[in-house]
Amino acid sequence: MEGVRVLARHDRLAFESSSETSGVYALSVYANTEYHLTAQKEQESRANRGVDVLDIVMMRKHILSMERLDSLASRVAADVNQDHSIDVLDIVAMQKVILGMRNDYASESSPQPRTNWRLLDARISELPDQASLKEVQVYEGRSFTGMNADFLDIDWLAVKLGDVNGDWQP
Amino acid sequence: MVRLLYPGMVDRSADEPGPERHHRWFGESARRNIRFFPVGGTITFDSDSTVWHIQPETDVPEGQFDFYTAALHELAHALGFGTSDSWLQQVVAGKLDGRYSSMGYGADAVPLHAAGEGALFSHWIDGLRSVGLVDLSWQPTTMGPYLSHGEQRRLTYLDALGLADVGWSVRLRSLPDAEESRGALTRFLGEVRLRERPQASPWRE
Repeated sequence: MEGVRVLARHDRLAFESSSETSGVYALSVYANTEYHLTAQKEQESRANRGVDVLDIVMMRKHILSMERLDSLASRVAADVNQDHSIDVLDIVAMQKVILGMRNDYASESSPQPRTNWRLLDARISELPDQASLKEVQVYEGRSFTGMNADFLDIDWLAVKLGDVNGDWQP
Repeated sequence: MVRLLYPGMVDRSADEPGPERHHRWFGESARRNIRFFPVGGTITFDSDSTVWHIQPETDVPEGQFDFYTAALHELAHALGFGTSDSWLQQVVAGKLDGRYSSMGYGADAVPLHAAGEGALFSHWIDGLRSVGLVDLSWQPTTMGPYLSHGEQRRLTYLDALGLADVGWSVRLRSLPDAEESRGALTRFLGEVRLRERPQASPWRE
């Protein structure tokens, strides 16, 4: 995935790099220092691309326990307001985005507009699909200490919020 | 005389020129600090006896001083570089013992320029070079003590790290390979993938 900024932060100092078209990135920093690595993707001009009524139908079935969302990635995408639960507030926020009334998933509890992407440490795929959404938070960054060698395969998974069925394509 | 002022400034234009005047670095920032940075400042540019080169995108002719470089330098002072209490507290034996600039310098502390007796050690030592933030080539730092005729400088990694030592949050591009000559680098390498599409969905059946 292209254009994702990967940041290595050491207190007040941060280094950043962007992923290329192929999704590959390389980020060089000073060695032998602690860093906390995160990835970010800027808000799209149209957050409703790939988000539609089919996603809401899936969420309603999940909330009503008619048909549970079976993958952790789908549940992460469904928790658009990032309050660790999938409920009617997520559906209301998605409806506003689908209708073009809003372009983000800000809520009353967190009114600041946020990007509609969640970038997670790819090791999250090792979690079971039933893992709680609170556990997902841990995967929003990764810490490294005492480095004196390159770190390979530090991969990230991009989840577009609201795209529950995963049909969005770049 | 041209003066650049910004909110919260203390007008020091009536003060005697500082010891750096002959270098054409005509700046001074207020020393009243809020947290780590000066509350404000005033920068004075001598337009009577100095010929300034104003267009930053063109080469600086001989006999002229680059205004952009001088302004950049003085703005960094106004932001606390070499002037704030937080900076001065880290000066030890003529070196800046700052955690961030030391990382970029590749040693425990970065040597500073001593401008006469009782100097405040507010510049990197003369001749210090670092990688430029814009063109990623080795070049003299902007926060050195002197600027010559016809010379143009841009902010370097070391200059930016000095501001981090002052207390500012600094975000920089990935270090270029050229920085490796100064100290060891580590690389993070990986891939960003879009999450996989589920194999089957109920409404597609």
